[in-house]
Amino acid sequence: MSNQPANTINSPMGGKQRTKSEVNKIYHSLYILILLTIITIPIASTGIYAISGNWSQSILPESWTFQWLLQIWTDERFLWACFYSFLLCISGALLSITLIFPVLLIVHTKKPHWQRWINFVLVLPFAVPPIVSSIGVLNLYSDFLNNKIGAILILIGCYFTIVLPFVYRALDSNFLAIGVKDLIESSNLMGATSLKTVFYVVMPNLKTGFIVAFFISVSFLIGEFVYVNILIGGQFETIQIYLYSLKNLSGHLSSAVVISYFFILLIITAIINMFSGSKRRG
Amino acid sequence: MTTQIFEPQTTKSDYSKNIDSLTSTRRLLQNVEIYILILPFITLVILFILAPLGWIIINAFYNDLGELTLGNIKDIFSSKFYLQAIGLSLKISLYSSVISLLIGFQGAYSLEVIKDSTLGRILIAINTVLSNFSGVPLAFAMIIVFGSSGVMTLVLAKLGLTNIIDIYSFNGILLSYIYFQIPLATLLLFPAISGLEKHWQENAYLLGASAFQYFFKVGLPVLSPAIMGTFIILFANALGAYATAYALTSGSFNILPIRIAALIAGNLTLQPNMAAALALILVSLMFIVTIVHQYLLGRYHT
Repeated sequence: MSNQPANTINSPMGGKQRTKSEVNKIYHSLYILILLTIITIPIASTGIYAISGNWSQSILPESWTFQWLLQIWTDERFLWACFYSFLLCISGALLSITLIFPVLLIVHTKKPHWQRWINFVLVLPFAVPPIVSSIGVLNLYSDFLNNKIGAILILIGCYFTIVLPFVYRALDSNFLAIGVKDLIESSNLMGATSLKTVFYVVMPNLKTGFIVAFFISVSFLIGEFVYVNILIGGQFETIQIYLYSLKNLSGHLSSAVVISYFFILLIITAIINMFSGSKRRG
Repeated sequence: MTTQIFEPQTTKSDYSKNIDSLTSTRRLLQNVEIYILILPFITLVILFILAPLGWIIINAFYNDLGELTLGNIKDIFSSKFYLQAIGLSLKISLYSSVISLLIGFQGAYSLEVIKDSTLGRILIAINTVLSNFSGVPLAFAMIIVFGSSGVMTLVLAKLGLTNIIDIYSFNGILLSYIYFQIPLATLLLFPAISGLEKHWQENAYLLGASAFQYFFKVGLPVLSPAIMGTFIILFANALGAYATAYALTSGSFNILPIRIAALIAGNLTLQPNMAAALALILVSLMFIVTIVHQYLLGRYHT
């Protein structure tokens, strides 16, 4: 994170105004702090529950243990679920970026009038939620869903539709920021071929955009439950499905999974912030 | 456009006609290239959005015997059970969206004021994480805290407070929805509020406006498209949400997504055509919401 000096925050109005704006700031900090504290209560309690031995008599647990977390992270089933989750998320994210990048390139250089159609396509995933399209997918592609490879390929296709609007918007803002059209024109003027231009000029400039789009996609897809639950008849598990299977078992174990999942999300978000932060500064 | 560079002006000699045909072949090739590049994208959009949507629209009007009929739709609108599902879906979406929008608006406003401080940056990051924390993990966290033997339930019971909240009831599920909608509302409204120019506020104050007047005469009108857009996204998000309610109640809470899933992948008799009809109703509700939004947006801009 960048270190801006604290006194640059707008206080042009002089003494009396400044104290007023400081009071203001305290009020806003308090509001957001209290709000997020309340929203974080379930997660914080889950975290405490995941490392507590016995917790039923008092406000804080009577004993602490890492037993549950250890049990989860040494459970082969959970590790396989993590493997499938990441396999699906990473493939889905990479596929989406790979397919959406050329579309953006064309819209920004050759066919700007396509934007209207693209906008329509981008609204579709909101208007047709996964619970709806999963029914169509289940009936149309049932033959592919019977084996693991087919099921994974179908799921990756579904995942593409989930992140499509987010990847498009994320990359789109980057295209605008680096001025792709000017870059390509000047590169062509200097005699580079279009392909060369894309690989050596456009793509390196979009590196941060790709990374941010990738991790945003992963953070969305890792929470996906509908498609996997409806399309995959128990052929394999993702983290979400594994967690759901713990429903009527130990609350400590499911807490351990929930808090592990939360930390995975936290790490992904930290990575996104790191890269989008460095972009803002550079 | 870059292709225009190669286009000769309207001179009608044979020579330029030759060039004309040359450039048009080149243009054609270029267009072929373009279509090849976007073909995979279009294929996936068709395979995984349009084809499933088409399947639903068609099959909503067929019965299990393969006959074209309006029976499924009629059955839905004459069934108390399905009407309740539609009603509850709309109710929980509306309530959770309005409440989250109000709380999230103040949240986004407060975040905007403190965004440059270390605390602000940390809180923005936490809010981003929370906006992704929904579905099954959220349902489990809610059960662990507010469930029948939940942490908070036990603490409250110690204080003599029982039956404050039943997490498996409508209010409990509404609470869970609000929990994932607030960070989302905050996240979506934040850029719009950042776009409010500081000097508008200063000018309004210089002209003698109160904070109240500034908010209702300047702030709110400028922000209203963003607020409407956010409301629509929240509403659609809640309307299509399946995992949270499913994980909380094991599928016994009667809302549209859970009904649809039960008809297609439940343990009882499967009725894919009925599922398609219900799904069509869900999509229609989404489209109505989107059209109302477009209409309001259009009216606002004229």
